[in-house]
Amino acid sequence: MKKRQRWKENLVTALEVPRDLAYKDAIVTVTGQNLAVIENYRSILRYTREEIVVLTLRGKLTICGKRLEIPCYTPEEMQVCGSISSIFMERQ
Amino acid sequence: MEKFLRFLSGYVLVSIEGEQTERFLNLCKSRGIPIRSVRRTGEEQMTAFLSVSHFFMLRPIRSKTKVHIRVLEKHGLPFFFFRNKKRKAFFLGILLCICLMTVLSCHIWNIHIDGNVRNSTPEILEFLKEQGISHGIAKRKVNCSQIATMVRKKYPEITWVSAKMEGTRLILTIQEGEMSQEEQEEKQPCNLTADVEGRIVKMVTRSGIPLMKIGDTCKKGDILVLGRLDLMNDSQEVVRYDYVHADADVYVSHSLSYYYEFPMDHQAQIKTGEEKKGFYLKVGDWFLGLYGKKKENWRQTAQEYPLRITENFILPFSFGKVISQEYKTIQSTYTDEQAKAIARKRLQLYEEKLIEKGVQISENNVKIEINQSVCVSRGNLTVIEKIGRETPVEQQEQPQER
Repeated sequence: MKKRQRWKENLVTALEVPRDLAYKDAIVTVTGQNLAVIENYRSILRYTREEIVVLTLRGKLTICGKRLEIPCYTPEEMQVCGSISSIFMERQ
Repeated sequence: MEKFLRFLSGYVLVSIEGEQTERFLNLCKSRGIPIRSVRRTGEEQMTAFLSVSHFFMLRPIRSKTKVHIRVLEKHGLPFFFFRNKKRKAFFLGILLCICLMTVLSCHIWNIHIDGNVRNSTPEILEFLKEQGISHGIAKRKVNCSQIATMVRKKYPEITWVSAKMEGTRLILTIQEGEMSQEEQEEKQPCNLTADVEGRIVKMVTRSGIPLMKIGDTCKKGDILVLGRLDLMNDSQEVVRYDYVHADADVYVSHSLSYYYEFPMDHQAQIKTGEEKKGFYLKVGDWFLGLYGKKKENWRQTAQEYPLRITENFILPFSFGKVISQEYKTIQSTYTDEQAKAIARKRLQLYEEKLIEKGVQISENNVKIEINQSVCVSRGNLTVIEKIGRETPVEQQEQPQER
Protein backbone atom coordinates (compact mmCIF):
# COMPACT_ATOMS: atom_id res chain seq x y z
CA MET A 1 0.00 0.00 0.00
CA LYS A 2 2.83 2.34 0.95
CA LYS A 3 4.60 1.45 -2.28
CA ARG A 4 1.51 2.29 -4.29
CA GLN A 5 1.17 5.62 -2.47
CA ARG A 6 4.79 6.49 -3.21
CA TRP A 7 4.31 5.57 -6.88
CA LYS A 8 1.30 7.90 -7.09
CA GLU A 9 3.23 10.70 -5.44
CA ASN A 10 6.11 10.26 -7.87
CA LEU A 11 3.71 10.38 -10.81
CA VAL A 12 2.00 13.52 -9.53
CA THR A 13 5.38 15.22 -9.05
CA ALA A 14 6.62 14.16 -12.47
CA LEU A 15 3.47 15.35 -14.27
CA GLU A 16 3.37 18.56 -12.20
CA VAL A 17 -0.32 18.03 -11.42
CA PRO A 18 -1.56 20.46 -8.74
CA ARG A 19 -2.02 18.75 -5.37
CA ASP A 20 -5.56 20.07 -4.92
CA LEU A 21 -6.58 18.17 -8.05
CA ALA A 22 -4.57 15.03 -7.37
CA TYR A 23 -5.30 14.56 -3.66
CA LYS A 24 -8.32 16.92 -3.31
CA ASP A 25 -6.36 18.96 -0.80
CA ALA A 26 -8.32 21.84 0.70
CA ILE A 27 -7.46 25.36 -0.49
CA VAL A 28 -7.73 28.12 2.07
CA THR A 29 -7.35 31.66 0.74
CA VAL A 30 -7.07 34.28 3.45
CA THR A 31 -7.52 37.96 2.54
CA GLY A 32 -6.45 40.23 5.38
CA GLN A 33 -7.90 39.37 8.76
CA ASN A 34 -11.55 39.46 7.76
CA LEU A 35 -12.09 37.02 4.92
CA ALA A 36 -11.21 33.39 4.25
CA VAL A 37 -12.35 31.27 1.29
CA ILE A 38 -12.27 27.48 1.64
CA GLU A 39 -12.42 25.19 -1.41
CA ASN A 40 -12.40 21.37 -1.63
CA TYR A 41 -14.17 20.84 1.70
CA ARG A 42 -16.69 18.18 2.69
CA SER A 43 -18.96 19.59 5.41
CA ILE A 44 -19.32 21.81 8.45
CA LEU A 45 -18.79 20.00 11.73
CA ARG A 46 -19.40 22.86 14.12
CA TYR A 47 -20.42 26.45 13.68
CA THR A 48 -20.43 29.05 16.46
CA ARG A 49 -19.73 32.78 16.39
CA GLU A 50 -16.19 32.12 17.70
CA GLU A 51 -15.26 28.92 15.85
CA ILE A 52 -15.99 27.11 12.60
CA VAL A 53 -14.80 23.53 12.17
CA VAL A 54 -14.82 22.28 8.60
CA LEU A 55 -14.19 18.68 7.54
CA THR A 56 -11.92 18.26 4.53
CA LEU A 57 -10.80 15.06 2.76
CA ARG A 58 -7.44 15.08 4.58
CA GLY A 59 -8.57 16.22 8.03
CA LYS A 60 -10.20 19.02 9.98
CA LEU A 61 -9.81 22.74 9.47
CA THR A 62 -10.58 25.09 12.33
CA ILE A 63 -11.08 28.82 11.96
CA CYS A 64 -11.15 30.79 15.19
CA GLY A 65 -12.16 34.40 15.64
CA LYS A 66 -14.98 36.73 16.61
CA ARG A 67 -18.38 37.38 15.00
CA LEU A 68 -17.78 34.70 12.36
CA GLU A 69 -20.32 34.53 9.53
CA ILE A 70 -20.73 32.49 6.36
CA PRO A 71 -21.68 34.89 3.52
CA CYS A 72 -21.63 32.15 0.89
CA TYR A 73 -22.11 28.39 1.32
CA THR A 74 -22.14 26.42 -1.95
CA PRO A 75 -20.77 22.99 -3.01
CA GLU A 76 -17.79 24.74 -4.69
CA GLU A 77 -16.67 27.13 -2.01
CA MET A 78 -17.43 28.51 1.38
CA GLN A 79 -16.64 32.05 2.51
CA VAL A 80 -16.00 32.94 6.14
CA CYS A 81 -15.93 36.54 7.26
CA GLY A 82 -15.46 38.20 10.62
CA SER A 83 -12.45 38.95 12.76
CA ILE A 84 -10.26 35.89 12.08
CA SER A 85 -7.56 35.25 14.70
CA SER A 86 -6.23 31.77 13.82
CA ILE A 87 -6.57 28.86 11.38
CA PHE A 88 -5.58 25.26 12.36
CA MET A 89 -5.24 22.14 10.28
CA GLU A 90 -5.62 18.68 11.81
CA ARG A 91 -4.36 15.65 9.87
CA GLN A 92 -6.55 12.52 9.93
CA MET B 1 -26.40 41.71 -12.13
CA GLU B 2 -26.59 38.81 -9.71
CA LYS B 3 -28.33 41.06 -7.18
CA PHE B 4 -30.84 42.15 -9.81
CA LEU B 5 -31.63 38.54 -10.75
CA ARG B 6 -32.08 37.71 -7.06
CA PHE B 7 -34.46 40.66 -6.75
CA LEU B 8 -36.46 39.46 -9.78
CA SER B 9 -36.90 35.91 -8.48
CA GLY B 10 -37.42 37.02 -4.85
CA TYR B 11 -35.64 35.87 -1.68
CA VAL B 12 -36.39 35.31 2.02
CA LEU B 13 -34.57 35.65 5.31
CA VAL B 14 -35.22 32.53 7.39
CA SER B 15 -34.50 31.60 10.97
CA ILE B 16 -33.31 28.00 11.49
CA GLU B 17 -33.71 26.64 15.00
CA GLY B 18 -32.80 23.20 16.26
CA GLU B 19 -30.05 20.91 17.47
CA GLN B 20 -28.78 19.91 14.03
CA THR B 21 -28.28 23.24 12.32
CA GLU B 22 -24.83 22.24 10.95
CA ARG B 23 -26.33 19.07 9.44
CA PHE B 24 -29.06 21.23 7.91
CA LEU B 25 -26.38 23.36 6.18
CA ASN B 26 -24.51 20.29 4.93
CA LEU B 27 -27.67 18.72 3.51
CA CYS B 28 -28.52 21.98 1.77
CA LYS B 29 -25.07 22.00 0.23
CA SER B 30 -25.27 18.39 -0.94
CA ARG B 31 -28.69 19.06 -2.56
CA GLY B 32 -27.35 22.12 -4.39
CA ILE B 33 -29.28 24.72 -2.41
CA PRO B 34 -27.15 27.85 -2.18
CA ILE B 35 -27.36 29.66 1.15
CA ARG B 36 -26.15 33.20 1.73
CA SER B 37 -25.27 35.24 4.79
CA VAL B 38 -25.41 32.48 7.37
CA ARG B 39 -25.25 34.11 10.80
CA ARG B 40 -25.34 32.44 14.21
CA THR B 41 -27.87 34.27 16.39
CA GLY B 42 -28.10 31.88 19.31
CA GLU B 43 -26.85 28.61 20.73
CA GLU B 44 -29.17 26.58 18.49
CA GLN B 45 -30.35 29.25 16.13
CA MET B 46 -29.08 30.87 12.93
CA THR B 47 -30.40 33.05 10.11
CA ALA B 48 -29.74 32.76 6.37
CA PHE B 49 -30.95 34.10 3.01
CA LEU B 50 -32.55 31.73 0.51
CA SER B 51 -34.22 32.22 -2.84
CA VAL B 52 -37.97 31.55 -2.98
CA SER B 53 -37.65 28.54 -5.28
CA HIS B 54 -35.01 26.96 -3.01
CA PHE B 55 -37.09 27.66 0.09
CA PHE B 56 -39.74 25.22 -1.14
CA MET B 57 -37.08 22.49 -1.48
CA LEU B 58 -36.33 22.55 2.26
CA ARG B 59 -39.22 20.30 3.40
CA PRO B 60 -37.32 16.92 3.29
CA ILE B 61 -34.24 18.47 4.92
CA ARG B 62 -36.35 19.99 7.66
CA SER B 63 -38.03 16.65 8.48
CA LYS B 64 -34.64 14.89 8.49
CA THR B 65 -32.87 17.36 10.78
CA LYS B 66 -35.97 18.30 12.81
CA VAL B 67 -35.16 22.00 12.71
CA HIS B 68 -37.77 24.69 12.94
CA ILE B 69 -37.77 27.12 9.98
CA ARG B 70 -39.42 30.50 10.25
CA VAL B 71 -39.58 33.20 7.55
CA LEU B 72 -38.43 36.53 8.99
CA GLU B 73 -38.32 38.82 5.94
CA LYS B 74 -39.52 38.67 2.34
CA HIS B 75 -37.74 40.59 -0.42
CA GLY B 76 -37.96 40.86 -4.21
CA LEU B 77 -40.36 41.49 -7.03
CA PRO B 78 -42.87 38.63 -6.46
CA PHE B 79 -43.51 39.88 -2.89
CA PHE B 80 -43.70 43.48 -4.12
CA PHE B 81 -46.40 42.55 -6.64
CA PHE B 82 -48.26 40.54 -4.00
CA ARG B 83 -48.19 43.44 -1.53
CA ASN B 84 -49.45 45.93 -4.15
CA LYS B 85 -51.97 43.71 -5.89
CA LYS B 86 -54.80 46.10 -5.01
CA ARG B 87 -53.12 49.07 -6.72
CA LYS B 88 -54.46 48.47 -10.21
CA ALA B 89 -53.57 51.92 -11.58
CA PHE B 90 -49.94 51.36 -10.66
CA PHE B 91 -49.74 48.13 -12.65
CA LEU B 92 -51.66 49.74 -15.48
CA GLY B 93 -49.04 52.49 -15.50
CA ILE B 94 -46.21 49.96 -15.72
CA LEU B 95 -48.01 48.16 -18.56
CA LEU B 96 -48.63 51.46 -20.34
CA CYS B 97 -44.98 52.42 -19.90
CA ILE B 98 -43.81 49.13 -21.41
CA CYS B 99 -46.25 49.52 -24.33
CA LEU B 100 -45.15 53.12 -24.89
CA MET B 101 -41.48 52.16 -24.80
CA THR B 102 -42.11 49.37 -27.31
CA VAL B 103 -44.05 51.65 -29.67
CA LEU B 104 -41.56 54.53 -29.38
CA SER B 105 -38.56 52.29 -29.92
CA CYS B 106 -40.00 51.36 -33.35
CA HIS B 107 -39.51 54.92 -34.59
CA ILE B 108 -36.56 57.13 -35.51
CA TRP B 109 -36.15 59.97 -33.03
CA ASN B 110 -32.76 61.36 -33.94
CA ILE B 111 -31.27 61.99 -37.38
CA HIS B 112 -27.55 62.63 -36.97
CA ILE B 113 -25.54 63.95 -39.91
CA ASP B 114 -21.79 63.77 -39.75
CA GLY B 115 -18.95 64.96 -42.03
CA ASN B 116 -20.88 67.66 -43.95
CA VAL B 117 -19.10 71.00 -44.45
CA ARG B 118 -20.50 72.56 -47.62
CA ASN B 119 -24.06 71.33 -47.19
CA SER B 120 -25.52 72.40 -43.88
CA THR B 121 -27.35 69.95 -41.63
CA PRO B 122 -30.71 71.83 -41.82
CA GLU B 123 -30.48 71.78 -45.63
CA ILE B 124 -29.96 68.02 -45.74
CA LEU B 125 -32.70 67.51 -43.11
CA GLU B 126 -35.08 69.59 -45.24
CA PHE B 127 -34.28 67.46 -48.27
CA LEU B 128 -34.85 64.26 -46.26
CA LYS B 129 -38.17 65.68 -45.04
CA GLU B 130 -39.24 66.28 -48.64
CA GLN B 131 -38.44 62.63 -49.31
CA GLY B 132 -40.58 61.56 -46.34
CA ILE B 133 -37.71 60.86 -43.93
CA SER B 134 -38.37 62.93 -40.83
CA HIS B 135 -38.21 62.57 -37.07
CA GLY B 136 -40.79 60.09 -35.83
CA ILE B 137 -40.83 57.93 -38.98
CA ALA B 138 -41.35 54.20 -38.40
CA LYS B 139 -38.14 52.18 -38.58
CA ARG B 140 -39.61 49.66 -41.04
CA LYS B 141 -40.20 52.49 -43.55
CA VAL B 142 -36.54 53.47 -43.52
CA ASN B 143 -34.37 52.03 -46.25
CA CYS B 144 -30.78 53.02 -45.54
CA SER B 145 -29.32 52.24 -48.96
CA GLN B 146 -32.16 54.18 -50.64
CA ILE B 147 -31.50 57.21 -48.42
CA ALA B 148 -27.79 57.08 -49.26
CA THR B 149 -28.54 56.94 -52.99
CA MET B 150 -31.02 59.84 -52.75
CA VAL B 151 -28.53 62.05 -50.92
CA ARG B 152 -25.76 61.21 -53.39
CA LYS B 153 -28.02 62.03 -56.37
CA LYS B 154 -29.24 65.31 -54.89
CA TYR B 155 -25.78 66.56 -53.92
CA PRO B 156 -23.23 65.65 -56.63
CA GLU B 157 -20.33 67.05 -54.57
CA ILE B 158 -20.97 64.36 -51.95
CA THR B 159 -18.75 61.47 -52.96
CA TRP B 160 -19.70 58.93 -50.29
CA VAL B 161 -22.71 58.47 -48.01
CA SER B 162 -23.31 55.84 -45.39
CA ALA B 163 -26.70 55.55 -43.71
CA LYS B 164 -27.23 53.26 -40.73
CA MET B 165 -29.69 52.82 -37.90
CA GLU B 166 -28.51 52.53 -34.30
CA GLY B 167 -31.38 52.06 -31.88
CA THR B 168 -33.72 54.96 -32.58
CA ARG B 169 -31.01 56.97 -34.36
CA LEU B 170 -30.47 57.34 -38.08
CA ILE B 171 -26.83 58.20 -38.71
CA LEU B 172 -25.73 59.66 -42.03
CA THR B 173 -21.98 59.83 -42.55
CA ILE B 174 -21.03 62.01 -45.48
CA GLN B 175 -17.79 62.63 -47.31
CA GLU B 176 -17.59 65.61 -49.60
CA GLY B 177 -15.21 65.83 -52.56
CA GLU B 178 -14.25 68.38 -55.20
CA MET B 179 -16.79 69.65 -57.71
CA SER B 180 -16.67 67.47 -60.81
CA GLN B 181 -17.67 70.43 -63.06
CA GLU B 182 -14.57 72.36 -62.06
CA GLU B 183 -12.37 69.46 -63.09
CA GLN B 184 -13.96 69.45 -66.51
CA GLU B 185 -13.49 73.20 -66.90
CA GLU B 186 -9.86 72.90 -65.94
CA LYS B 187 -9.16 70.69 -68.88
CA GLN B 188 -10.31 73.24 -71.46
CA PRO B 189 -7.49 75.11 -73.28
CA CYS B 190 -6.79 78.59 -71.97
CA ASN B 191 -4.13 81.28 -71.50
CA LEU B 192 -2.99 82.64 -68.16
CA THR B 193 -3.37 86.42 -68.16
CA ALA B 194 -2.16 88.98 -65.62
CA ASP B 195 -4.96 90.57 -63.62
CA VAL B 196 -2.65 92.84 -61.58
CA GLU B 197 0.22 95.07 -62.63
CA GLY B 198 3.60 94.34 -61.06
CA ARG B 199 7.10 92.85 -61.27
CA ILE B 200 7.35 89.07 -61.52
CA VAL B 201 9.37 87.64 -58.61
CA LYS B 202 8.66 83.93 -58.96
CA MET B 203 7.31 81.80 -61.76
CA VAL B 204 6.76 78.04 -62.03
CA THR B 205 5.11 76.83 -65.25
CA ARG B 206 3.50 73.43 -65.32
CA SER B 207 1.83 73.54 -68.76
CA GLY B 208 1.88 76.06 -71.62
CA ILE B 209 4.63 78.36 -72.92
CA PRO B 210 5.74 81.15 -70.56
CA LEU B 211 5.87 84.52 -72.35
CA MET B 212 7.43 86.36 -69.41
CA LYS B 213 10.26 85.61 -67.03
CA ILE B 214 11.32 86.54 -63.50
CA GLY B 215 12.18 90.25 -63.28
CA ASP B 216 9.79 91.29 -66.07
CA THR B 217 7.06 93.82 -65.37
CA CYS B 218 3.61 92.76 -66.45
CA LYS B 219 0.61 94.95 -67.05
CA LYS B 220 -3.00 94.09 -66.54
CA GLY B 221 -4.18 91.97 -69.46
CA ASP B 222 -0.71 90.73 -70.52
CA ILE B 223 -0.50 87.05 -71.35
CA LEU B 224 1.80 85.34 -68.87
CA VAL B 225 1.56 81.76 -70.11
CA LEU B 226 0.33 80.90 -73.58
CA GLY B 227 -1.98 77.92 -73.92
CA ARG B 228 -0.94 77.27 -77.54
CA LEU B 229 1.96 75.00 -78.43
CA ASP B 230 3.56 75.48 -81.85
CA LEU B 231 4.85 72.14 -83.07
CA MET B 232 7.69 72.63 -85.57
CA ASN B 233 9.53 70.39 -88.01
CA ASP B 234 13.27 70.24 -88.61
CA SER B 235 13.10 73.36 -90.82
CA GLN B 236 11.60 75.34 -87.95
CA GLU B 237 8.25 75.62 -89.73
CA VAL B 238 5.05 75.31 -87.77
CA VAL B 239 3.43 71.99 -88.58
CA ARG B 240 0.56 72.04 -86.12
CA TYR B 241 -0.89 74.04 -83.24
CA ASP B 242 -1.73 72.20 -80.04
CA TYR B 243 -3.84 73.79 -77.31
CA VAL B 244 -3.35 73.13 -73.61
CA HIS B 245 -4.76 74.39 -70.32
CA ALA B 246 -2.07 76.87 -69.22
CA ASP B 247 -1.10 76.19 -65.61
CA ALA B 248 1.52 78.12 -63.64
CA ASP B 249 2.23 79.76 -60.31
CA VAL B 250 3.15 83.40 -61.02
CA TYR B 251 3.96 85.73 -58.14
CA VAL B 252 4.27 89.48 -58.69
CA SER B 253 5.40 92.21 -56.38
CA HIS B 254 3.37 95.42 -56.44
CA SER B 255 2.41 98.18 -54.09
CA LEU B 256 -0.97 98.83 -52.52
CA SER B 257 -1.90 102.27 -51.22
CA TYR B 258 -3.49 102.43 -47.80
CA TYR B 259 -5.52 105.29 -46.37
CA TYR B 260 -7.72 105.40 -43.26
CA GLU B 261 -8.85 108.33 -41.22
CA PHE B 262 -11.17 108.77 -38.29
CA PRO B 263 -12.17 111.76 -36.11
CA MET B 264 -10.63 112.17 -32.67
CA ASP B 265 -13.98 113.26 -31.23
CA HIS B 266 -16.46 110.47 -30.94
CA GLN B 267 -19.57 109.38 -29.12
CA ALA B 268 -19.08 106.60 -26.59
CA GLN B 269 -21.88 104.50 -25.14
CA ILE B 270 -21.38 103.58 -21.50
CA LYS B 271 -23.51 101.20 -19.45
CA THR B 272 -25.16 102.89 -16.47
CA GLY B 273 -25.48 99.57 -14.64
CA GLU B 274 -29.27 99.61 -14.77
CA GLU B 275 -30.43 96.21 -15.97
CA LYS B 276 -33.77 94.45 -16.32
CA LYS B 277 -34.42 90.84 -17.11
CA GLY B 278 -37.43 89.36 -18.82
CA PHE B 279 -38.63 86.21 -20.52
CA TYR B 280 -40.70 85.21 -23.48
CA LEU B 281 -42.38 82.07 -24.68
CA LYS B 282 -42.88 81.11 -28.31
CA VAL B 283 -45.17 78.33 -29.48
CA GLY B 284 -45.19 78.19 -33.28
CA ASP B 285 -46.26 81.72 -34.35
CA TRP B 286 -47.77 82.54 -30.97
CA PHE B 287 -45.60 84.81 -28.83
CA LEU B 288 -45.91 85.71 -25.17
CA GLY B 289 -43.46 88.32 -23.87
CA LEU B 290 -42.94 88.87 -20.17
CA TYR B 291 -40.73 91.95 -20.32
CA GLY B 292 -41.16 95.71 -20.56
CA LYS B 293 -41.19 97.76 -23.76
CA LYS B 294 -37.91 99.07 -25.16
CA LYS B 295 -37.18 102.60 -23.97
CA GLU B 296 -34.87 105.25 -25.35
CA ASN B 297 -31.19 104.71 -24.47
CA TRP B 298 -31.93 101.10 -23.57
CA ARG B 299 -30.55 98.16 -25.46
CA GLN B 300 -32.19 94.75 -25.50
CA THR B 301 -30.48 91.44 -26.12
CA ALA B 302 -32.35 88.17 -26.37
CA GLN B 303 -31.18 84.60 -26.07
CA GLU B 304 -33.46 81.88 -27.39
CA TYR B 305 -33.48 78.26 -26.26
CA PRO B 306 -35.49 76.04 -28.58
CA LEU B 307 -36.94 72.94 -26.96
CA ARG B 308 -35.40 69.89 -28.53
CA ILE B 309 -35.97 66.23 -27.83
CA THR B 310 -32.85 65.03 -29.60
CA GLU B 311 -29.93 66.73 -31.33
CA ASN B 312 -31.85 67.67 -34.54
CA PHE B 313 -35.43 67.06 -33.43
CA ILE B 314 -36.53 70.58 -32.50
CA LEU B 315 -40.05 71.15 -31.25
CA PRO B 316 -41.92 74.37 -32.18
CA PHE B 317 -41.59 75.56 -28.57
CA SER B 318 -38.91 77.97 -27.49
CA PHE B 319 -38.07 79.89 -24.40
CA GLY B 320 -36.19 83.18 -24.49
CA LYS B 321 -34.30 85.35 -22.02
CA VAL B 322 -34.31 89.13 -22.59
CA ILE B 323 -31.80 91.43 -20.96
CA SER B 324 -32.43 95.19 -21.17
CA GLN B 325 -29.49 97.46 -20.34
CA GLU B 326 -29.44 101.23 -20.06
CA TYR B 327 -26.79 103.12 -21.97
CA LYS B 328 -25.54 106.67 -21.68
CA THR B 329 -24.10 108.45 -24.69
CA ILE B 330 -21.18 110.78 -23.92
CA GLN B 331 -19.00 112.97 -26.10
CA SER B 332 -15.35 112.02 -25.77
CA THR B 333 -11.95 112.61 -27.42
CA TYR B 334 -9.26 109.98 -27.98
CA THR B 335 -5.83 110.59 -26.53
CA ASP B 336 -2.91 110.34 -29.00
CA GLU B 337 -1.97 106.87 -27.69
CA GLN B 338 -5.54 105.62 -27.95
CA ALA B 339 -5.91 106.96 -31.51
CA LYS B 340 -2.60 105.42 -32.61
CA ALA B 341 -3.57 102.08 -31.06
CA ILE B 342 -6.89 102.13 -32.94
CA ALA B 343 -5.14 103.02 -36.22
CA ARG B 344 -2.54 100.27 -35.69
CA LYS B 345 -5.30 97.76 -34.90
CA ARG B 346 -7.15 98.73 -38.08
CA LEU B 347 -3.97 98.32 -40.17
CA GLN B 348 -3.30 94.96 -38.53
CA LEU B 349 -6.80 93.77 -39.41
CA TYR B 350 -6.26 94.89 -43.02
CA GLU B 351 -2.94 93.00 -43.15
CA GLU B 352 -4.55 89.89 -41.66
CA LYS B 353 -7.24 90.01 -44.36
CA LEU B 354 -4.53 90.19 -47.02
CA ILE B 355 -2.62 87.27 -45.48
CA GLU B 356 -5.83 85.24 -45.39
CA LYS B 357 -6.10 85.73 -49.16
CA GLY B 358 -2.60 84.28 -49.55
CA VAL B 359 -0.83 87.62 -50.05
CA GLN B 360 2.66 88.11 -48.56
CA ILE B 361 3.56 91.54 -47.21
CA SER B 362 7.18 92.40 -47.95
CA GLU B 363 7.26 96.10 -47.00
CA ASN B 364 5.11 98.33 -44.86
CA ASN B 365 5.47 102.11 -45.32
CA VAL B 366 2.29 103.23 -43.55
CA LYS B 367 2.60 106.23 -41.24
CA ILE B 368 0.12 107.30 -38.60
CA GLU B 369 -0.32 111.04 -38.08
CA ILE B 370 -2.58 113.02 -35.80
CA ASN B 371 -3.80 116.37 -37.11
CA GLN B 372 -5.74 118.08 -34.30
CA SER B 373 -9.17 116.60 -34.97
CA VAL B 374 -8.42 113.58 -37.16
CA CYS B 375 -6.09 110.59 -37.05
CA VAL B 376 -4.82 109.65 -40.50
CA SER B 377 -2.88 106.53 -41.47
CA ARG B 378 -1.54 106.61 -45.03
CA GLY B 379 1.21 104.96 -46.99
CA ASN B 380 2.05 102.00 -49.21
CA LEU B 381 2.27 98.29 -48.62
CA THR B 382 4.50 96.26 -50.92
CA VAL B 383 2.96 92.85 -51.38
CA ILE B 384 3.78 89.64 -53.21
CA GLU B 385 0.68 88.07 -54.66
CA LYS B 386 -0.15 85.08 -56.83
CA ILE B 387 -1.79 86.28 -60.03
CA GLY B 388 -3.22 84.79 -63.18
CA ARG B 389 -6.66 84.67 -64.72
CA GLU B 390 -7.74 82.05 -67.18
CA THR B 391 -8.69 83.59 -70.55
CA PRO B 392 -9.71 81.82 -73.75
CA VAL B 393 -6.88 81.04 -76.12
CA GLU B 394 -7.05 82.42 -79.65
CA GLN B 395 -7.57 79.54 -82.05
CA GLN B 396 -5.23 79.71 -85.08
CA GLU B 397 -5.92 78.05 -88.38
CA GLN B 398 -3.94 74.83 -88.67
CA PRO B 399 -1.13 75.16 -91.31
CA GLN B 400 -1.72 73.14 -94.48
CA GLU B 401 0.43 70.08 -95.06
CA ARG B 402 2.88 70.34 -97.94
